[in-house]
Parts: sequence; C-alpha cells; structure tokens
Amino acid sequence: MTVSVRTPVRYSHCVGFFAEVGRGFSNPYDVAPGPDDLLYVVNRSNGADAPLGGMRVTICKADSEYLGEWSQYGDGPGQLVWPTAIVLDSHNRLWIADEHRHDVQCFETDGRYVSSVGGYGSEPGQLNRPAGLALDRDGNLIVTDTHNNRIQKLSPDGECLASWGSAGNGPGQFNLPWGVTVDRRGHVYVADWRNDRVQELGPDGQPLADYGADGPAEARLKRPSGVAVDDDGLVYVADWGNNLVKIYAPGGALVTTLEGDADLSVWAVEYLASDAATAKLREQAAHPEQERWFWGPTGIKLDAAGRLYVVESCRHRMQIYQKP
Amino acid sequence: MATATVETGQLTDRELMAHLFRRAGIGASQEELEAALVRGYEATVEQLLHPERQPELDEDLIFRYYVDFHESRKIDSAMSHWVYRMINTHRPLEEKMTLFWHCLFATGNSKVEAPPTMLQQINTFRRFALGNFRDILVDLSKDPAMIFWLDNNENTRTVYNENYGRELLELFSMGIGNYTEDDVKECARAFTGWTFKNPIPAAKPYGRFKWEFEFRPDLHDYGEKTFLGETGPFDGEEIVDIVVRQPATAQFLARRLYLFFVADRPDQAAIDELAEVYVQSGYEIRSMLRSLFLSDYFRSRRAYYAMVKSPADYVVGLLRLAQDYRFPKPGIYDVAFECRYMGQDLLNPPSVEGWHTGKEWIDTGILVERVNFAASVVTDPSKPGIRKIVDTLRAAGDLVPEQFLDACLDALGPLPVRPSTRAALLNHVEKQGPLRFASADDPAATERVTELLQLIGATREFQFM
Repeated sequence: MTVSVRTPVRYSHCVGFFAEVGRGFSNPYDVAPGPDDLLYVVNRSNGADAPLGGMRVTICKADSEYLGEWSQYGDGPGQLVWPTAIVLDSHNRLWIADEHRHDVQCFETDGRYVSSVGGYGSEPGQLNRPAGLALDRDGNLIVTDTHNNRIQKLSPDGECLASWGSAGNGPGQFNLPWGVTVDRRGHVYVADWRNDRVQELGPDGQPLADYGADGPAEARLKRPSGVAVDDDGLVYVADWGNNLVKIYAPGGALVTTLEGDADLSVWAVEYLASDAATAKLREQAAHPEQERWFWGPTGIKLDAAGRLYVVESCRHRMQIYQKP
Repeated sequence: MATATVETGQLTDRELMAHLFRRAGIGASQEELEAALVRGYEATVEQLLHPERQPELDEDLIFRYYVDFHESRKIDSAMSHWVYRMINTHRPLEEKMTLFWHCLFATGNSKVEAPPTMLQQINTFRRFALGNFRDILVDLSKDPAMIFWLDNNENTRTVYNENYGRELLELFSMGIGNYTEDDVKECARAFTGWTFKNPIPAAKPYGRFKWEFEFRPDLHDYGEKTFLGETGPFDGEEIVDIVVRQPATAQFLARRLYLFFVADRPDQAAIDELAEVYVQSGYEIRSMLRSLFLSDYFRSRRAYYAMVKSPADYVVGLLRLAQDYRFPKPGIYDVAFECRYMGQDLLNPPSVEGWHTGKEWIDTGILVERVNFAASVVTDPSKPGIRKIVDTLRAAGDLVPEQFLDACLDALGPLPVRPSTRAALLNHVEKQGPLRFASADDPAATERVTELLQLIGATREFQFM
C-alpha cells in the first residue's frame, strides 16, 4: 500500500526471489541499471566462502529475463568478500565497493577484472569500509568512505580529487555514511546513516540541506541506507531502519512514503508452480500482506526510463516503481 | 572428572572477580577485570544484576554488516548472531541468563525449522532474563517456537495434547514426582487454544516471517479444572500462578541455578537457601542471583574452577579474552560452529531435556577440538587481547621462567594448576631460559608467549571455570 497524498511513482512489478545460486538473489544490496533495461545486482549474501555462499553479481533485465551471474570470493584481484555497492560507468564497466577489502574494483560486465582503487587506510585515496558509490558527470567515483566518515572523489585511477567531511553530526559531518548519489547539477546526496538523515552537498562539498533529520515524525529517517534523485529534484530515500521508502521535495518536505507493494515476481511464480508443497503452505498464510512490505531496503536507483528500483536486502528482490 | 584443583583458603580479590565474570558472564578481558577490581565485588555484582543500566548492543550496526543475521533465514545465521552478541555484550549476566533459559527451556530448530522464530525465543529469554519466574513461564507458554516444539498448537478442547502441559511441570518448573497424571491432564486443558499463527509459512520465495502467538477462544476449554488441589476454570496464566507457588518449583529452580552458576555437584543447603529467597522475593530471579553471587558457597574455593566450561563458555570466553570480533567481520560462522563441534549446537539442543553438562561436555574428540580452538585464538598476536598479554609481559622486563609462567597463567585466568601441570609447563619454559624482548615486536619472544599460552590452553585445568 502506498500512503500518499500525491504519488510521484506507481508500483510496477517485482524482480527476484531467494536463490543461493543461479536465477535469483541472495541478500542483494544494490543494483546498477544499464542500457537496454539491463540490471547488475550485487548480492552480499552471508559473506562466507562456502559452496553456495550466494555472494555474486546477477545479470538480468527489468522484465525479469535472467542472463547469468559471476563472482569469485576472496582477497585477490577481481575477487569479492563483502560487496556493498555497484555502479556502471559510461564505458560500460562496473565498479563495486567492498567493505571487507576496503577497495572499489572495476570489472567488465562479464566479470573480467580491470582495476581497483582504494585500499585500507585513512590517507587521501585510501578507504575504510567503503559502502556507497556514485559517478559524477566526469566519470569520477564518489565514494562513501564510511569508517573515515568522509566522502571521497576518486579518479578512475584512484587519485583523490576531493575529500569532504569528518566524524560528527554537524553540517557536512557524517556518522557511518552509507549510500550516495549525484544529481544532474552535481550535488551529492549522502545517506548519513547513523545521523538519521540525508545530507545534500554542493559540487565542492559544501553542505546545503538535509532531509529527514527533523520535522514531523513521519518525515524522519531512521538509519537511511540509500538515496536517489530524479531530474525534478525529488529525493528518494531507502529508510532502512523504518523499512520504508521516503520521497522528499527539493529542500526537504516529505512528499510521500512507500511501505512496499510487492507481489509475486515472475521467478517466484515459476518457482511456486514447480513446488506444490510450498505453494500449498502459502495458502495457510495468516498475514499475506506482510509479504508486500519492504524489509531491509538498501540500494535505491533510478534508470533512464523513469523506473525506481528498491533493493530489499532481506527479501531477495527488487520492487520496481514507475514514474508517470 | 573432579574439581580442577584442591586448594584451600580464601580467594584473593582478583581470583574472586575473575571467578564472578566466568560464572555471571562469559569471561572478561584484563581491562574489564581491572576496572571491576577498582569498583569492588559487591558493586560489580549489583552492576551485573542490572543489565538495563549498561548500553544495549547496537543491533542496527550488526544488521548493517551481517545482513544474514538481519534476515535469519538460516539457523547458522541465527546461531552466529547470538554468539556475536555473547562476545560483545555489555550486559554479561543478561546474556548468561539467556543461555541459562535456553538450556532449561530447551527448544530445537531440528523440529521448529524456523530460525527467525527460534531467535525470537532467544530474544524473549533475554528480555526476561532476570525477571519474575511467573512472568517468565507465562511468556514461555506463549512463545511460538515452544508451542510448536511441544505440540501445544495441537492442544484443543476437543483433542487434548498433553506434551506442553507435562513438560511445563516436569522439566520447566516442579520436576517429576511432585504432581499426578491428573494434574498433567488438567494443566493441558488450561492451555488449550494457546497456539500461533504464521504470517507466510514458507521460506521461499521471499524468505521467512516470524510466527506470532495467538489465543483461539474457540479451541479453549473453559471448563472447571482441578490442579494441584485447587479447583476453578483455570486458564494457562492461572495454572502458572499455582505452579510458581509450589515448594517443588522453588527447589527445582534453585537447583538448576546452582548447577548452572556454582558447581556441577549440588549442595542441598545452598539450594534450600536459594529456594527461600525465591519464595521471599515473590519469585524474582534477580533476588536469587544476588543471594547466590554474594553467598559464601559461591565465593568459596570449593566452587572455584569447580565446573567444566560449556562449549559456549569456552569459545566465547576465549574470544572475549582475545577481544576478537569486536566489530563485524567475516568468519563468525566458523566461530559459532565451534560450539556445535564441541557438543553445544546452540538453538538445537538434543532434546527437550537440553544438554547433559559437567563432565559430559568432554570426551577425547571434543577435548582435541577444544585444544585446537584455544590454540588458534591464543597463538594469534594480531588479536587485540592477545597482543595486550604479550605487551604486558614485555613491559614487565626480563622474566625468569617461573615469573614468565605465572604471568601467562594469570593472563588466562588467573588459572590455578596442579603441581604436575606446573612442573611440566615449567620444564618447557626453562629449556629456553628467561623471557627477553630484544625489541618491541620481537617475533621470537612473542612466539614464546603465545606458545606458552597455547600449552596452558591445552591443560586439563583450562577446561574448567
């Protein structure tokens, strides 16, 4: 159900269901929409190096067509342990932030390793548990350097071009930031996780506004994890601690709140058709409405077709909304 | 297996404080121990008895990094989550009592097969950890995992299922021999209609959902019951009211607390004392524990290292000592699995009777598992707690073999050892002479320290607490 007086998006459909391997997701954290409705979904899974560990990048389309997956667990080049964020650059390469490895690696879309930036530390260009990724219009990486409580702008070669923020709760300060995005003006929006707000920074890092830190209770954020901004300036926030998505007008007024509208995805329908016992069990559901709600929303992204993707880390799916 | 040592005399302040933290918590780092010594024994007991005065763990932080804990789809995740909490808790007695209730009200995922619901039960145990036994039994009777584990969801006014009613009396409160078969039947009647509902009963396609307690009036037997000599149209709560008033319940709970916190062999005088506190306090667990920790029998050398460490005490105690996993990182599953390998598969006890404790925790294979795990922890100087032990020894300057050995025994306890154990350890240390650090991170000297810690970890005495 959507609680709204004015709804800038409408629920479209759901992609995903739980699978430790193959078609499906396992605790997905983020998605990178690409051309031709392609989606690259990073699955965090349980972070264990085990058969069927589930950590992987899944490639599919917005209409649920499954195209494949790739991954390799470990600390070596091209391997992943705790992947958290994923973006696709203008050269059709994927960048993935890894909170355990403290780096951001670049891959071809088929999984071939290209390069990496970062590495553990607090010096410029070093990272401590990078959690969020975005690209600016020049192709530089905007990284939430979470445990250094700063945002770094890194060139694709890893050179630190700018660094903003410090630990704290004042303007321009952060407390374990998570997701990040850049709008068409070059403003940077940071899900300032432990400060329960989203901060908007100017192109040079100057704090401009915040979202969800005050105002009426329904407008307040609790541990926001992800943020997206559309061309109208609407700010979409994955309100992780409240299991909601909140949409704000430029400047911070709450426009509406989404609590989730999921129905069965194509993959889920096909799975249930092949598993009569599970399908039968579902007939006994006491509260089927709970399945619709968001649980653990993390990544939130917009694509060129006006789709809003909400990645649910605990429900192994993406709820997709459409802008009119 | 007898008590580890046969020493007499009063415990020193340091011995007593470490003893308290092993029993009322799951071990302590050297810093925690030192801080507690400054505070004093009675003040520390009071602090332990009031976990609500200490900060709660930041579950958001845990869930952010361990998404599988957040979801708890798999029992391995739920188990690892609990182990992580035990390692990091600022409320050690709360967590220890959670373990106590899990051991007493043993419920297993082998049947329940619903990890979030199992963990929900653990959270319930934690919530009422030091509360009133009456409230505890009422909450237990409404716990969905327990309801399913003991078939109370099949207990209706038309078809009785006595399983929960029987175990409530036999295993959870009074003990066999203190009630009749008729009491069991009447007890079961009072719990008819106490069932649960499952929001969506399937792990696929979108993961699991927590079960919820549900009272079904249409399935409840509202008729008159005669239970333990009292007659009325009792429901489950009223049955619990009668149960908690029974002298047998006082004895039962006092005995279980004694065996969990004091010694593997019961002492009737101490149990009587605890039972009296149960009655006088109106069934308050906190009051019983206060009496226990301040008692002479708990503070005596007779109770000192008189219990075999449970696997959870062993594994978590070592990691707390080493100050490892103080922040989420990969590998926590392997740690949690160690409890399982050592015979305590958390959230999956072997039966409703729970685990057999004391000497039954250890056999030859498990001893090897224990020794290997201890070695893997104490030989790693990159772990902060181990590094601090090494640094403390280095700061002490050159140490002759006896001093070196005493310092290591102190760091892992203080751990008293039998003369034969001491002689064997000393013999090993003397082969390489005094401990000297040529530099701050002298690898050879560091290795000598961790090697000796490893040897101590392999002793018979280290298996006790």
